[in-house]
Amino acid sequence: MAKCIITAAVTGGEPVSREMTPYVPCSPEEIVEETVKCWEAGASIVHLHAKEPGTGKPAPDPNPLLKQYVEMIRDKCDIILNVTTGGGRRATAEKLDEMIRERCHLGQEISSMNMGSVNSWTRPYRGTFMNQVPTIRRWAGYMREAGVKPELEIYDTGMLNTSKMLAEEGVFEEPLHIQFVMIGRTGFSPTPRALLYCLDEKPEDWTWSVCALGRHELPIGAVAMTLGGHVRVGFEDNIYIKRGELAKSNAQLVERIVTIAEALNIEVATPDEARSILGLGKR
Amino acid sequence: MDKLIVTAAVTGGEYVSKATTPHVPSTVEEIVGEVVRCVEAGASIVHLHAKDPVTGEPHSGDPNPVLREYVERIREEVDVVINLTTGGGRVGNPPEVWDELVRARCGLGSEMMSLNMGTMNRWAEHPTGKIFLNTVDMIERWCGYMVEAGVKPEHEVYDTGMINVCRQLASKKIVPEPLHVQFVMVGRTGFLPTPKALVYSLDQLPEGWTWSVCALGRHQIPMAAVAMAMGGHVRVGFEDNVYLRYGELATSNAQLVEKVVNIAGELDRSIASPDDAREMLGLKRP
Repeated sequence: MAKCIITAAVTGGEPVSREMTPYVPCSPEEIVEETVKCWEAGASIVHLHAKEPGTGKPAPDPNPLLKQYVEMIRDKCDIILNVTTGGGRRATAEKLDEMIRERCHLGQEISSMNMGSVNSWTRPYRGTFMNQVPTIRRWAGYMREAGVKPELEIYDTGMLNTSKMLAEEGVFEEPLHIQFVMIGRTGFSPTPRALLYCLDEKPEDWTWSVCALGRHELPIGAVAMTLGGHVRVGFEDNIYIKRGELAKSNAQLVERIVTIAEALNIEVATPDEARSILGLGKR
Repeated sequence: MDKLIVTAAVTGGEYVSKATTPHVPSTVEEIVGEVVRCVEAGASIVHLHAKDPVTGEPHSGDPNPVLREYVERIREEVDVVINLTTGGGRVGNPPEVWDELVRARCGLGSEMMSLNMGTMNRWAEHPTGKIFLNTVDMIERWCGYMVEAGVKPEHEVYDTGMINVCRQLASKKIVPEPLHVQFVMVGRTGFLPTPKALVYSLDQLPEGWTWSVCALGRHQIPMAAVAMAMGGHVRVGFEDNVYLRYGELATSNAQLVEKVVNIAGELDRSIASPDDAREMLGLKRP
């Protein structure tokens, strides 16, 4: 079995702020420190959103902060940087496009790309997460230009169809890397059955990873690695180390998934091994 | 196995106009005539969108007066369960107006209305753009209007997450169970029109709910056959498919109804009458 790539989504993304857990890192220094701890614990990729220092809310102007995170992390360790294309969405469509284009040049090796539009159920984020096909095509172009590999974030089975069709069009270079974001509610359910269905539809040579929310994070992570997939953990998807007990650091979640991997005799990939698995080329 | 409910989606919906096929009905008389032929062929439900009488494009103004006329004229001619779309009237109007249109549409005398269970991308061009917007708030409100008016929602599901949405509507008691689900297997940005996708979806559906399948183009009849063999119901018609067979346009929706009724006959599945369908779906008689 190929080695397992662990992604740490350390910043809490859009929904997780200090209101939910005091442990979410939000200043650049805190985020860098969390990243290093996760790297030491076995993470080979870090997935980053821009956060407002102090509150941990999404930062309104993400690029300067993301640039700062990237540069500071680069000084400390060889982890692979995966920068979100989320955030800053209150801007006009043109502004957002410009922002994303610029964001492809921060020095990261991967950027996440949402492969479709989906409702979100939970307040206060109830609304629609819009990612139209023409936008996907354009942003894929920016990533190609910048030599950044897209991580295709898939929330339901139709987005896998979209991914295959766009790959066929030549919008993306194959083999692709997928992140199944198993959110339930308005997206596919975080179940082994849903995952098996998706894997049957996935082109053979595409690499894939899973993240699931809350109490599903670790069990579905274990299922994924057993099936030869990769795993994402971290505060963006889950803030608890066990029922009722907040994790004090993202690194605890990384440690937990590494322990599971070791128990299964699945080797955890180093950043350079992950680069080779994902075809990222040498740093 | 339960009797088979055949829905005829005769008007061509949002995508099929005279430019796609000259056989799509578009005047009131044509639409009523098609409905009568489909009922004679075995359809027990008819699904209606409001059409421009000349072009067969979606009606550009308020669809409600047009739909009211269809309902009244159909009721004079034939007994059939009427299922009105909640689509239409979106172009150029803000979502508050969509709300008002849907609320008023619940009072036009239909027994059912379709309700899209989520937001998704559109692959094809459409005047409302590249997003098919159906937010959770819209879904909850529109369910409320229907329940209040005694109209049963037909929950249109385009991918597996929308089944999760249906289950939450039921568990929050926004809609009384059992729900009736239409799997709209559009492929591309939604789930695939494949037996495997259907089997996966059915595993997610609570016991006791009723379900139907419609698939696009050449997938329409094969997926209908799969659904009817599995105990589900089917929707056919020009809204999803305009061909009778490869390269040959159907001249009437009724030909597509006949096709599935013939398959059902070979499967020894008897066809539900409109009253059978009302009983099976728990509908109020108009």
